[in-house]
Amino acid sequence: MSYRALVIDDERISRRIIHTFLREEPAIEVVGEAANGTEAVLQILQLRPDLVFLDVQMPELDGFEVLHEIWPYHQPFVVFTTAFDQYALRAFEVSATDYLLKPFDRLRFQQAVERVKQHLAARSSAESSLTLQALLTEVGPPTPTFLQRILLKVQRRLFFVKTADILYFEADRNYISVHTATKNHLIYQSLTQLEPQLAPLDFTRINRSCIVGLNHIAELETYFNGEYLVKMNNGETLKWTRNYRDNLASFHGLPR
Amino acid sequence: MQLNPHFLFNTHHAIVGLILEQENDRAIDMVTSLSDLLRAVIANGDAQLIPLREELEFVTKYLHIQQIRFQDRLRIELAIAPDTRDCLFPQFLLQPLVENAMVHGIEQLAGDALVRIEARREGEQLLVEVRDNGRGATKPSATRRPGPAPAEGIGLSNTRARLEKLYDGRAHLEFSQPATGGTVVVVRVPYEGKPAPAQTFATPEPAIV
Repeated sequence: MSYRALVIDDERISRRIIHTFLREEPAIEVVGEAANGTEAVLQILQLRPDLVFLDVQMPELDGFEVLHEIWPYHQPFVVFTTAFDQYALRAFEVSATDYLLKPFDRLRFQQAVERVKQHLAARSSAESSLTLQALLTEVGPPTPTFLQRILLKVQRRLFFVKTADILYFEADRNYISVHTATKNHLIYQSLTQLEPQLAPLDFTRINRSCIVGLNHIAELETYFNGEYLVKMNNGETLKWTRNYRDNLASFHGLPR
Repeated sequence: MQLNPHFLFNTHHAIVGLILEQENDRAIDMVTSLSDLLRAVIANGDAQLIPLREELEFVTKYLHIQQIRFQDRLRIELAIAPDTRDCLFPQFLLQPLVENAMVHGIEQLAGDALVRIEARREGEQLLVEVRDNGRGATKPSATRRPGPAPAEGIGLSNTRARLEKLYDGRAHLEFSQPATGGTVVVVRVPYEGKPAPAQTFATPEPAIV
């Protein structure tokens, strides 16, 4: 049985070290690498590795943000690799299997790999490992509850925005722009991923690139061709297009 | 003067990597450069003003190590006017500014980071400018994460305090984030030459008429 690993670090030399150490681990195959947080998210979601070696400080998204982005869709085992010791506690809180402080030697690396292999073996023998179950119910779908808040990052600061405060979500290429009364924020997600996580009585999709917070709508005005203009409480106007007309039911508080 | 401990650990990790790759020359290069840095930090702790040339040597060593680490991603430009090289400059003042610049580019951009150091004389002032191509205060795009402009941070206020103490109001530090992106830090100190070295020969140089 061979396991698939992804190596994430913004320094090429650091990625090479892991490659070299893994040469002696026939059970683990490196399927890819990433040099920044955004690349890491894409690679994890595409390749769905069993294991990731994850640097903390990286351009665009740091290691913790990468985990936050991917966790609802895929839960690999995680070995952090960093020169910073102050993240260790937080790393284990987000279920890291091990935490390698740079510089590390072959022996320490092998210990981490052994630990991961034990976990992987345990997972394949009994799919319902307790920790994994706990994690799944904690953060990921399939959970019946809807998002109450959304985690955002500005600079080094992580904070939540209550979904109740969100006026609308607007697709912006690979990102979603989250509009609140005071500020806009970008999150790395697609509307299609986000939509089922939002409470249907509070949010509805009104066009291909927009999900609106129903509680922030001031009025609807009929427009051409069965379309509507959506006037928001803050004065902005959005368009409810024909293809999403069925969602009008949610405006009336009816189940779709 | 303190080197950032994470810089030391990451440098050690990179040396481990070079050893594993059997890139002996580069590993040796890294170790000797790191030793030079540490030696300068340990030995010259009390010298306050040194020729700019020496400060630049120190910073160049530091950047040399960073370039080995981020080989494919870090670009360095130096534009040093020759008449500034012997001018006196506060020791270790430049390194934290250069480190900030490097971190801006390397941590915020997935692409190449640029650090540019320029020194020139402006009247009776020596001007040293450190510029990077990080996010600065520019607006976020699809590939750049949103966020307010980074504050100047504690590092710069220490630098300012040090300039004030050394020059008593005759030195300035300007921090700016132009709309075109990046961060620029400009330090102005009085243009002061090296104190005359002890004369070896008693005969004065012939005056040029």
